[in-house]
Amino acid sequence: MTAALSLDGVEMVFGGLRAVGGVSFEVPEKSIFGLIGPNGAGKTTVFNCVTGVYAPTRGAVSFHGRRIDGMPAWQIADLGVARTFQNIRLFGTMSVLENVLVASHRTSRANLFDVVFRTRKHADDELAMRKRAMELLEIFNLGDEAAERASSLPYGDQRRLEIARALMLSPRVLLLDEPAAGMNSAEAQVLKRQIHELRDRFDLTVVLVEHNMQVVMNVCEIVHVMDRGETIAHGAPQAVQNDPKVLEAYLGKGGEEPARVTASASERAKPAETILSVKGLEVAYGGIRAVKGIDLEVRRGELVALIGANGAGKTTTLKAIARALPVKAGEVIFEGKKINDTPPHALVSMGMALSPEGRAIFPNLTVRENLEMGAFTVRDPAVIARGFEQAVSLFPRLGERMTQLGGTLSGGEQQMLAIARALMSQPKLLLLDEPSLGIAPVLVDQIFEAIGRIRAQGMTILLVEQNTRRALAAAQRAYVLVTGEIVLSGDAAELAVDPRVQGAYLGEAVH
Amino acid sequence: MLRKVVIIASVLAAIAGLQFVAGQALDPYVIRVLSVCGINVMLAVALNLVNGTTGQFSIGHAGFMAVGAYAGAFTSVALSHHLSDAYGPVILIAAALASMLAAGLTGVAVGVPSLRLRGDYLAIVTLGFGEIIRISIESTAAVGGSQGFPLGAESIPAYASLGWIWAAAFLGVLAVWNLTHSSYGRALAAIREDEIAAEAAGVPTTRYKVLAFAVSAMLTGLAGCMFAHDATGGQHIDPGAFRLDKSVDMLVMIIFGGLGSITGAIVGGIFVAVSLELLRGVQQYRLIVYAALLIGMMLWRPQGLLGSRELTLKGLLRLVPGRKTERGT
Repeated sequence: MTAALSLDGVEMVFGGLRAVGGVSFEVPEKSIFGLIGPNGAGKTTVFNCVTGVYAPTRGAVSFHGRRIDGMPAWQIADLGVARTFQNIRLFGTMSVLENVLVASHRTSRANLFDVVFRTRKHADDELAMRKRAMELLEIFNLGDEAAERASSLPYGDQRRLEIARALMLSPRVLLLDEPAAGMNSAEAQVLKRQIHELRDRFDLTVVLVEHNMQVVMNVCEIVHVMDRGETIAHGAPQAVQNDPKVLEAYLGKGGEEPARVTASASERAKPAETILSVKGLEVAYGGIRAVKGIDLEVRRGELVALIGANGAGKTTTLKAIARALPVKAGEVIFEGKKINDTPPHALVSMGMALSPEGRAIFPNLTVRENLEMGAFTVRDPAVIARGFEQAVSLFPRLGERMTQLGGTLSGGEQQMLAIARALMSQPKLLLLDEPSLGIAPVLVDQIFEAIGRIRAQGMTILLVEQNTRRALAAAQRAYVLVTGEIVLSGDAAELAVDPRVQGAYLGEAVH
Repeated sequence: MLRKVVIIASVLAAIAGLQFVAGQALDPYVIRVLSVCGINVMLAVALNLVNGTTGQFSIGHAGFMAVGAYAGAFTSVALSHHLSDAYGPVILIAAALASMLAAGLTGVAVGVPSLRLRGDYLAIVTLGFGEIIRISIESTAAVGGSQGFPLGAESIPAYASLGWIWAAAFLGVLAVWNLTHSSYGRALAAIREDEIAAEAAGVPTTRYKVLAFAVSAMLTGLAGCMFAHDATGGQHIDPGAFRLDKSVDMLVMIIFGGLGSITGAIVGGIFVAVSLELLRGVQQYRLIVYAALLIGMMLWRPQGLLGSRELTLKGLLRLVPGRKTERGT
């Protein structure tokens, strides 16, 4: 029996970055196959290599024995490889029905002449396509919404519409990129059942990329685990779940316990005043509630970590606090002032600075200019000079690279620059978003060491981090987010040994 | 099928009627404005197919208009040497076909290399091609160079009366409407909405962009042909009529009417022709007032008059007070 899909040494290099380094696996026909791994593992890149969004740098992709790597995406879709997207790509202003109909275009027999002159062939064809599209929509309970704008649908419906559109291609392989992302556990349960039904009903091979481990473990028959572009495990879900390499990839490196910065006795005795408090915060993207009413508090001088699996809503929370996203409900209070409607730039003058996820440095400005931009709100040249000194003493490497363009720095150096830039405004509260994301381990060590030093100087820090072990080692207190809700909180040292934290990541219910 | 033939025939008959009435009762100035309206409608609907429906951005369409105008005029001047005025309609139709063919081929030639680009890059490349076309004409002695066409005492036969212009506009718009409201049109709109998703749904995006470009160029070429033969025009064309500002005019029409809406493009095309005439009253301030009008429009209604919606009879009836809306009941 030939495999529905087989990858042989697939490698994808972007510029100097090897996003996927030699991945090989076979997807048996009619199986439900899971491709999993932590953030940045290269899963979606593998999907993009299979579906022709990228042509792999090296290696071969075959579909039922036929080479498809390097083919244009539409041709691969035409052969019978359909997909959905991680961050939903619907044709927003078109109707639900039209979205599905687009995918039937290739099977249409009416040519341009038929269309312009409205021949019978065009009419028959259109009728047949509409009938089939409606049938698909009915299967996904979207029949009543056929005339609605796709972008007006609630999130879960949009996900299902994407699947319906993919099925309109009459595919043999269906690739689902994070189908459960942003769904609550009840919706994820339904999805689990539906994936099995889909496979049987449409005689499909299903490959899914998924972070929601609960879905992966229950739905998939075979699981392929990647980390940093490499395969680290392959096999039955239960076997993979207990693989130490998989646990390490998800929870960060255990190894020797980094030195813990413990709060002094006096600090413990007298709790410092609250600098930031968040009450009942809700944040939504369109119809999707990403953060569902959370409370948290940061006291002066504290390092508080906000941890949780990918898609839990950590960055969303941070962005809402920094006013980069609108607050749907609840309130954010900074230094006693409600800042729900304060514009983001005003927050900087009030003493809040954000080092954003993905770093967002100015690529065409030099390191020096980047730092100067961070001090935009500071008038006093002496303060700016002190800021530069501090930046260089924290990150000596930046000192060596002052005249280099930000865009030419490595990922780790850019992260250092992002932190140093945030500190230039002399903030009272530093919001640090995923400082270890996509950075080589040796640089992560340096960055966390610097974070420790910043805190020792008395800075208050709210840290969002995917590397749980590191975050808990650096923090005093932590909150654990799962699908937009805080499920655990408390002393970081206690959470570090709490088995429920691991559960929150690996998809076991937390009680 | 029969019903459609009847509808099309009666619309064309109505246009013939209009032609007759116009000849009897209308002021030549009004006929002139109505003719320009018809040409503008073609230009706007054609550009909307590329910029509105497919979401690409061309600012070089004056080039296609020039190709159509010159190909059409060249054909009719050549034919009129052999055929008498009685064959006027035949000559005009031959000229129209020649202009559409020439402009369509030019559209493909421009589209293939440039439609891999996006956004502002595409805009710059189309702008460049538009200018290349105009300057090529300007430096080709066979078509009169910068003197215009035709040379000497000859003139372009003025066969495109009001009725012919509106008949061409009607058929052109109908063809684009049919194309847009079909699986082809959905594929084009899908490209506008999300190219990667369109590819994943099996749409060969580059090929379809070129198709949209070619069809759009054909209709623009037809408009150019009617412009050259306009019975109320000068019976003479020169490259100066197809500068960048002509392309900008076309952009104004579709942005005013609402990008992506065919009826919006029609309204926009007519608006540009009529408003420029009505503003003649304010004399030298005409273009200032016109520009201010556009700025105001962009500030208060940036999506254009109709947005991306179409004006339909049903929609109009829904606006009539007291009438129950279809959805409401």
